[in-house]
Amino acid sequence: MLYTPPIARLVEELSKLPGVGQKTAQRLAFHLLKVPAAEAHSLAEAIVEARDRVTFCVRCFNFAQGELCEYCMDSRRDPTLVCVVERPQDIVALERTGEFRGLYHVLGGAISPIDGIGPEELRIRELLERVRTEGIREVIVATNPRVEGEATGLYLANLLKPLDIKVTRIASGLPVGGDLEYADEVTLGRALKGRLDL
Amino acid sequence: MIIAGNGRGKTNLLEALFLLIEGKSMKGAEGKEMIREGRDVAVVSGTIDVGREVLLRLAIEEEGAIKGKRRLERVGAVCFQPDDIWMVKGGPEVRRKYLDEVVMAIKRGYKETLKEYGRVLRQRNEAIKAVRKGLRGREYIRSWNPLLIDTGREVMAERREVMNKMKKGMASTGREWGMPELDIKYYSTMGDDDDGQEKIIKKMERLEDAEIRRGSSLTGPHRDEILFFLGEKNVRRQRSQGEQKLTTILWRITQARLLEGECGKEVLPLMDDCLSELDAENRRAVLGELRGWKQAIVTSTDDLPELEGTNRVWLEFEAETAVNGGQPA
Repeated sequence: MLYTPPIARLVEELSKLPGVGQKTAQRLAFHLLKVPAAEAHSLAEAIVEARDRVTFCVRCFNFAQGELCEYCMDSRRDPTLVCVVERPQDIVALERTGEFRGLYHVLGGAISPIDGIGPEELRIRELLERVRTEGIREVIVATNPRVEGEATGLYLANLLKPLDIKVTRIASGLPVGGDLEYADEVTLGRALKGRLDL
Repeated sequence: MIIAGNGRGKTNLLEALFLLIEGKSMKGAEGKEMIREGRDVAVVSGTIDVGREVLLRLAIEEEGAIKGKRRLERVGAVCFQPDDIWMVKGGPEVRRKYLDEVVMAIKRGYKETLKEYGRVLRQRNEAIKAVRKGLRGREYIRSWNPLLIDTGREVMAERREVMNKMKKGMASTGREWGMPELDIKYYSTMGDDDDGQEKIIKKMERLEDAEIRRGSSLTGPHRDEILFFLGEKNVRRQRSQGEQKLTTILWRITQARLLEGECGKEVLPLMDDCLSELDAENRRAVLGELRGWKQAIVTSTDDLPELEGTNRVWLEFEAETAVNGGQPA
């Protein structure tokens, strides 16, 4: 046997993590054995706590600690404006902009028959229910700008428009601070199509 | 004018020229296939005059990788091959391929547009298969309809725009050649551009049963037809072999001219065996057209009376040395 059993187990568990191979797992394991015991215990507790205490927000399906997530609980946010994203990570990215003061709705992915994901697997029914009951004025579709995200967006738009609310899609465009010269053709083409009046 | 009997390497010579200029095979061959049997590498070199002389040298290595490819901004090549006649004789998929090739050459973003449409189509076909197996309801297919229409229309709009340019160019040259009036028509399975989305969605829903039976999508640019007409007659079914060939030559020459006009390139037409099957009058028309180009390379198996006055080169070496290690013939 290469490692004593407890170390072998730790290496095996660590190597299951995304982006962690056998070598990295071994390095991490030996690191955890070298640091003060308190530090290793703290990591173990953090994992357990995150797993046990983080739940899904019953309203928007973001990660939450309790019934509602921090955004749904925040009374300063505009509840008539809802931004639809694929995953909770996307909320973190949008929050970093500081531009958006409405609420969110996490679909849990995008429609993709190749991966066996259809509208029923996503939280679309829940979104429609929210639109009906929460007095939402505008739904901003912020799914990823690829085929699956676009299909999901158009599908949502078809369902939501008859409910007499505004449905918008975030724009595709050029990275700020970059040069036109280096932009890829598709992005530049989209940016041209979505041009604005000055 | 390159004149030589069968199997003397005329086509190989054009293939080498095309490869040098475009960096790929005119026959769509893989790198490996272009290396002579029993050899490890193939090397092509030549000089191009683009205001100044540029030496080009390109090698295909053992694994088939093409090394030394140069992206020539101002020079291009368009090649006519006898097999091109399948664009009128063959099925709609061949015509779509030929049209897409021209669109891709003059519209930079089209390759991506087509790729995106292909991805949408694959997703929708996958959805159809799941419904066919009884795993899902029809909503699963329908959720892809709006995007299929959106991306499909983008493909169609680009195709139509380029096709209209081709049509205009072909018709005008055709008139000079004394051909009956030429027309190209695009038949869309998704309906006309001015059809509203709802109308198309209704059509798609009507076709759902058939789609589920067949397991694939029946509307969209992947099913569209493009037809050539000469004086109201369908070239595919109602015109002779010679007229079919003439239509194909006209397509390639117009493609070359379009590339010059739209991309500001200087294009070299490479015409492989384009004169056979044509009568003397049509041979004169085609040669007259090619004489108007700065340079054009034409191959023929025989020396014909119409070739008088062209710069004729007879390939007289043995077939075995026809492509002699990249040395210019």
